[in-house]
Amino acid sequence: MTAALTGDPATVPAAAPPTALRRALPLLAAPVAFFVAFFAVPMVVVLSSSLMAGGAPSLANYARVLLDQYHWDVLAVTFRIAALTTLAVTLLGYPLAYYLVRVVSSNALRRGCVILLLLPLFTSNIVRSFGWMILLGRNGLVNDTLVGIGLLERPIRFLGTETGIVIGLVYILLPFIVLAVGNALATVDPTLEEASADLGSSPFTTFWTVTFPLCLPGLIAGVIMVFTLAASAYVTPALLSGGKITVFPMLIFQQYSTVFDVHYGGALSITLLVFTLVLVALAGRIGNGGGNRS
Amino acid sequence: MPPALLSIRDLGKRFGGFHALKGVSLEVEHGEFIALLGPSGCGKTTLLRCIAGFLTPDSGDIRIGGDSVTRLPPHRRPLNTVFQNYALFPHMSVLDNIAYGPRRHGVPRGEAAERAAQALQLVGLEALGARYPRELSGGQQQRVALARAVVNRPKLLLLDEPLSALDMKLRKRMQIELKHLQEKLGIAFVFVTHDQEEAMSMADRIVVMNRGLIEQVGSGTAVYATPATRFVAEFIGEANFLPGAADGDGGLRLAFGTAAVPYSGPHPAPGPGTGAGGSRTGVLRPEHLELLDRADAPGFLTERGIVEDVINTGGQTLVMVRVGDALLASRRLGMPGAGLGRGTQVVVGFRPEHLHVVAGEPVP
Amino acid sequence: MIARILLRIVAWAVMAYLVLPLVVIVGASLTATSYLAFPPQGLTLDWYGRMLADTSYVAAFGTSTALALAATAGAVLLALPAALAIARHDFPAKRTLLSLLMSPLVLPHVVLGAALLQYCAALGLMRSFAALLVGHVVIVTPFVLRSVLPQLTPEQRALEEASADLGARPFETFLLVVLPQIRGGLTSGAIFAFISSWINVELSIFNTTAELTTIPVKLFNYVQYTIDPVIAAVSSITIAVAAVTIVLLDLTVGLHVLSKRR
Repeated sequence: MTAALTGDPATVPAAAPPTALRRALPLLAAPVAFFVAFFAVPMVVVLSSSLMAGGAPSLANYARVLLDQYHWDVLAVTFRIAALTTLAVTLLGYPLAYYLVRVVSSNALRRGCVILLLLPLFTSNIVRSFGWMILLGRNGLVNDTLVGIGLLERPIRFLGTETGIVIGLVYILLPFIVLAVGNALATVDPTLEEASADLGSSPFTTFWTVTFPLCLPGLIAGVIMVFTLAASAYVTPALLSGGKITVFPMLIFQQYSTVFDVHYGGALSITLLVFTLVLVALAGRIGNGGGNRS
Repeated sequence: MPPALLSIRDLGKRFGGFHALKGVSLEVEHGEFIALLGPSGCGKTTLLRCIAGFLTPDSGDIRIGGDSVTRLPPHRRPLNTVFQNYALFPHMSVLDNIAYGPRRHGVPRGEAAERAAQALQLVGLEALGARYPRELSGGQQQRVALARAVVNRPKLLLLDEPLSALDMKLRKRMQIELKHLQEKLGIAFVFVTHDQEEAMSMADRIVVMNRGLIEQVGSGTAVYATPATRFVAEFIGEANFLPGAADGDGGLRLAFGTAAVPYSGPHPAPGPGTGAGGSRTGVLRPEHLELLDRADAPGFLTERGIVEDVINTGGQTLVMVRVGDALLASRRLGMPGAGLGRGTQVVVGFRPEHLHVVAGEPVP
Repeated sequence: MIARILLRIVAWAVMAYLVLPLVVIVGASLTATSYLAFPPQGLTLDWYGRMLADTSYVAAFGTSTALALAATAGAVLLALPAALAIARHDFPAKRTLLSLLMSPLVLPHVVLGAALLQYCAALGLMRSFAALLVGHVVIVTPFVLRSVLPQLTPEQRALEEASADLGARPFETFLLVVLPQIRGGLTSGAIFAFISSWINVELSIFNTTAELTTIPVKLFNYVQYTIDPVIAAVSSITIAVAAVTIVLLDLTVGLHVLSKRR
């Protein structure tokens, strides 16, 4: 009922009486059973196989992963690419989001831009990376153009470099950040900005003291999503690396698809998972701290 | 004696640490208009939601026509509700909204539409059946909600602050219409409101609630003239409070200016409500505190005071008078007369029979 | 003012960057040369004909479509009751449950794919349609849940109470009041679910075989060894599917992103 809207304390949610669970259970049975059976249990299986070596519980697989400098190098490459991608995506995506929400006044134009923004999002990573394979080739459009306008003397190699992978990943992940920031911007009450201007702030000050902090949660959500997707991307690096660069998800794929060593592969999976989650948690904490200060 | 239409016994409800209802009992007869009145958080909405079946009480029993409905889901209770923001189905036309109830009770489509049209006529909106709720004004939506709730001809209608979203003029008109409709249909209304004027002008009986308890049940006149508790006296209307204490002879002494007025009229005995000091409070409505031209007016208890403020409220004048430490309000009909202003020395007085005494100390 | 102009330039450059690769693919699929060329040299639809003549592509399109439809149906059947329970009841560990159901969004798909490969192998389901399906249902359910949950608002709750108050049984209330009200969120969630399944590689790749494969996995395996205009033609078809889906989404429920309505 509507009392919830008026803040009448009579409708403060109940402190989880057992009847609530009993009523929710018929609705929850199927989704919970499915996610336990095909999500939680498989993940536990990976975890438990990673902790087994030679038929006995052991940390040998993790020792094999963590004591090998090669794995640390691959992790460094993976997270460097993810961090660079996230940075570039933010620097490119934020202005576009701001432009689409705040500057574009024509609804038709905005709608067209949104469709163009969703189109890559709805297209497979393969197809999108494939587009960049064509563009970034030695005789591709990018090199041709750069040489043509005299920025380069001769074509440079993009495929098989970290730059190439970052270009591809930035492209794939841009829509995420634009949507996250844009939706946050769209919900900021313009009267707050008017109030700030009314109190004598320049547009620049208003942006940094009112608009930006209010959109920060949206930005952080987008950044976390982009970072995790970049760190766990397999297809784009595989296509744009030309076999010359290895990222962590490739190691996992090799273990499961060709070697089929579930113990070592499990340890690799859990390692990637833990590193990603720790970095995400750190980012979230830093983001929250920033939010509190402002 | 046949069972009451609605009988509530000792209802209790907690939300976590918040005790919303602490043992509420109430009976409602057929065709009665009951207002549940109280400040926000007093439990009136919780009580209404328990009756409707949207909340299950932790303890106590609710009976309708003698049958317990406490464990019955809302769709099986023989009553209907008018919701605060109307809760009209936005994806259905006005007529479909009203026909929804009869359809759910197995009435064939054609007959349901007929009944809906009749109900719509009842609220004077027969021309708007094909419209959608968003195309209606607030007052029209209100009437549709009403028509939808009475189309099933329930014996009991619950109304949750149904007029609170309307502007003042429209609200006054709807109050009158609602009262006429209730009398015409003979349906018992249980009406939640925090507006005391609304409760006074419409209800046969007012249930004043505070902190999950019923403070007083009575007619508008009764709760105004003879409030049962200090809370009721404060919540209903305006009042001057004269702090009092036992005089040792079974009577009271009430502070009025510098005097301690002896009072031996009816008053509550010392008990848990009066506190350790056995304190009682005299309640004096502003219309009973008069400005007099002499200090020995017969039948009056008088004191001298100084005017602090004269407020013209349109047809009535409120004069705030400093008497001793207390600032007392006196109200009279008419415009403020000349020669009455801040600093004027006056004599104020009241007839002792207008004094009503409740337990407890006045809240400063 | 200069900031405004700069913003405009950056915004349009980024838009161009977003569209360029798709234009290149479609362009390259029309080239008359036997190698990929952009801008295309000569125009031909031969490569589309070659694609249609290759039954393995047609089969992969079929598998992808069936998989995406089934996964979407599964996700709706799981997410809808879960959303109702989460929005309507205060049961213990609600937040934990929501995190569990939403976590496939941030979990590396490679890890989940590997886990399901190992698990389904143990169940005897390895590299089967069923193995693909359960994985896809897991990764697309959060999309439906995420778009339905915000629509189950307190206002919506009031409508459900009104319905019950007027004598509707819970199922009638669901059918006549809840479903029409959340149709928008459900549709857009389902479309996102469909497309996420349709384009997935990282999860599918573990449980596909030469015979049972989806279109993105097939493309992936092909692109790594050979690059020819047939690939561009197949890619163009998937771009067209994406475009049609988006327009459909816009026409049915409207694209309420970046606008003030939500």
